Amino acid sequence: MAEKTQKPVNPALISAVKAVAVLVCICFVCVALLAVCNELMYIDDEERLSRSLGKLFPDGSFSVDNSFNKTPVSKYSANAAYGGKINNVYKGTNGDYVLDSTGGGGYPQGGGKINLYVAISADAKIVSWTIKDKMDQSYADRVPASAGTSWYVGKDISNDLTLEMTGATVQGTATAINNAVNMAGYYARNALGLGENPEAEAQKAVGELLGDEYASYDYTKVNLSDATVDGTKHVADALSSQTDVLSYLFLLTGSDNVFAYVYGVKETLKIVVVKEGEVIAKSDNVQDGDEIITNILANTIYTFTYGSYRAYAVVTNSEDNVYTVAGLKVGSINPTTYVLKVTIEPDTAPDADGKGKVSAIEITVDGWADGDPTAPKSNANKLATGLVGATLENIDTFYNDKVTGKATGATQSANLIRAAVEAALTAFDANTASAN
Amino acid sequence: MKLQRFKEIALDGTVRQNPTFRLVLGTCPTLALTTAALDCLGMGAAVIFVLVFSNLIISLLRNVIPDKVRIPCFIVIIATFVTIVSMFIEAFAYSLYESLGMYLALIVVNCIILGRAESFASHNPVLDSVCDGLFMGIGFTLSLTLMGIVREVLGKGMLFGVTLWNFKIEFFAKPAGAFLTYALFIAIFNVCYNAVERKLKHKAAHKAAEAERSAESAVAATGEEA
Repeated sequence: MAEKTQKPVNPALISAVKAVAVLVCICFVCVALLAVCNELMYIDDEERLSRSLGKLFPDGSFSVDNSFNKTPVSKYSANAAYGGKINNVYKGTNGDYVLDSTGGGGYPQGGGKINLYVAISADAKIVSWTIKDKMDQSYADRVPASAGTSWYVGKDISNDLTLEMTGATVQGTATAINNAVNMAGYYARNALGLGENPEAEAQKAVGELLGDEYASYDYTKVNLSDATVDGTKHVADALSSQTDVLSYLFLLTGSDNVFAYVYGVKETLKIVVVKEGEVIAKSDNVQDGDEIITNILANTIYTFTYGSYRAYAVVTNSEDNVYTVAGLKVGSINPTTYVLKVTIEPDTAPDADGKGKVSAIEITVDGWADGDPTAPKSNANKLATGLVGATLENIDTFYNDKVTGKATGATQSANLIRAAVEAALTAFDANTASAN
Repeated sequence: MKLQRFKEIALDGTVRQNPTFRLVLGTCPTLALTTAALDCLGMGAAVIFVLVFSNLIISLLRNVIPDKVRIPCFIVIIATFVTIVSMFIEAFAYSLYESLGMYLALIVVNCIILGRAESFASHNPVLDSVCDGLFMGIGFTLSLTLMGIVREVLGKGMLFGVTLWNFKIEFFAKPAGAFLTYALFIAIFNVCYNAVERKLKHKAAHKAAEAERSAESAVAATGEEA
């Protein structure tokens, strides 16, 4: 019988296995030791909060009001503008608030975040702040130790605060801190009602008036400050009365378009909400025959979306089928208001059902902005005359095929004119339908 | 352990191989934390804890840890004790934890600790290693605290957080002041150390010469008698 020959084991292999085994054993023992220590010395969230409160309020003036729900209101708990969110909100028995706020825009490359506790007083001032969690901000220790009691302290949160530190050393971390503080301010303004922010207050009042059905609608503030109905009188004035001045006009977009007209501020706030030319809600201090309601219904505002661009137009007058329409400047676009007199005749085509067709367009107020865009001013008239003959059904074709000049830098003017003409056609068709 | 050996280790740790002023190790915390003497004491206590326990464990395992993986093993052990001391300070001395900041975690890579593990604890018995860790730590703490006292008094007009006077030279509280203070301390410490050592050597040589002379005279006296 052949004897089995035992193969000698490589001593280097034994040595390597032993080395790894020893290292692994040491690691296991260390992990076990750390687990025990962690169990004994773990600091829970309550303790962390208490320590942070000690730093935020060294005089011990803040004690948590446990009856206040610390879970943030979901609608305002996140905001992409600050890349952050509110994790918890604590109210003190003294009326101050401490917000557990995360801000983005930090190191590296604007993607990092930092987590702060921000204390805001009942009169909407930053009391102090402290870092709760450095997260990925490895340079957070370079922020001066006194920053929590000096940066932003005493500043009003009614508006966003600006960066308190310049220089490249901890610019990313300082930006994240700034965003976390502004996130806290945003929440305090909108959810806690702190600070002077009439626009947010007006928006909130509209939301409360409309109720849950419109809770998911987005708000766009329609800027009427530069828009005129005839070159002199502003649209905002046309929508106001002697006693009530239009403060804000919001377009709420959800399943359909709704306009909310807000007059006055705070206690004198009046709200009228209009959908498809009809008042669907109004605050208790507005009566049916009030001048503002008459003005609102007489100056129907139409909204149109062309690609990513939104245009508004107001029909301010209609006599003998001549519609005076203002195509409104919105935001920071270059052209100002165009006011057009659009003459509309019933379309004689067999299947037109008496719907409107543009027979003439006269520009009474030219909103062309000299110098920018670079296209010649005469293009504005070309834009207007190009839409003669259009109906609501074929206006897109007319715009695309016949309106010249828009491709040479006059798209925004073209859109304002188009909106005005489209508004006149819509008003004509609505009048025809109601007459029938 | 014999008393003489204990004395040698104690003198090595605190004076002859003083980690800060003689070996110039652990300079990061030395420069960064010496603006406040109290923080220096806290840092020193943390380093003593880590040094003593890491030396203890490494010395205990010195015959078990294979040579090839000794550095990873040392680092794991040191990191464990640094984490423990960090947890302890965070739990029971939060203001100190805040003051020490990232330098607490950076004890892991402090050259003194890995240096003592590698050069002493891995070659010596347990008790010697523990004593070495203790006295190295004390040496480090004393150096740090001395510098801290000088910088705090000159730079802030304070001592251990108590305001002494309004006079202050802010330069000493700044990084450049840290370098200058450190350099001055190294210079003074080494000048003193060398002077004392020369004196001791001279004394020893004198003693030896005297002993030789007395031995010679004894031999001569014996010859005369004969």
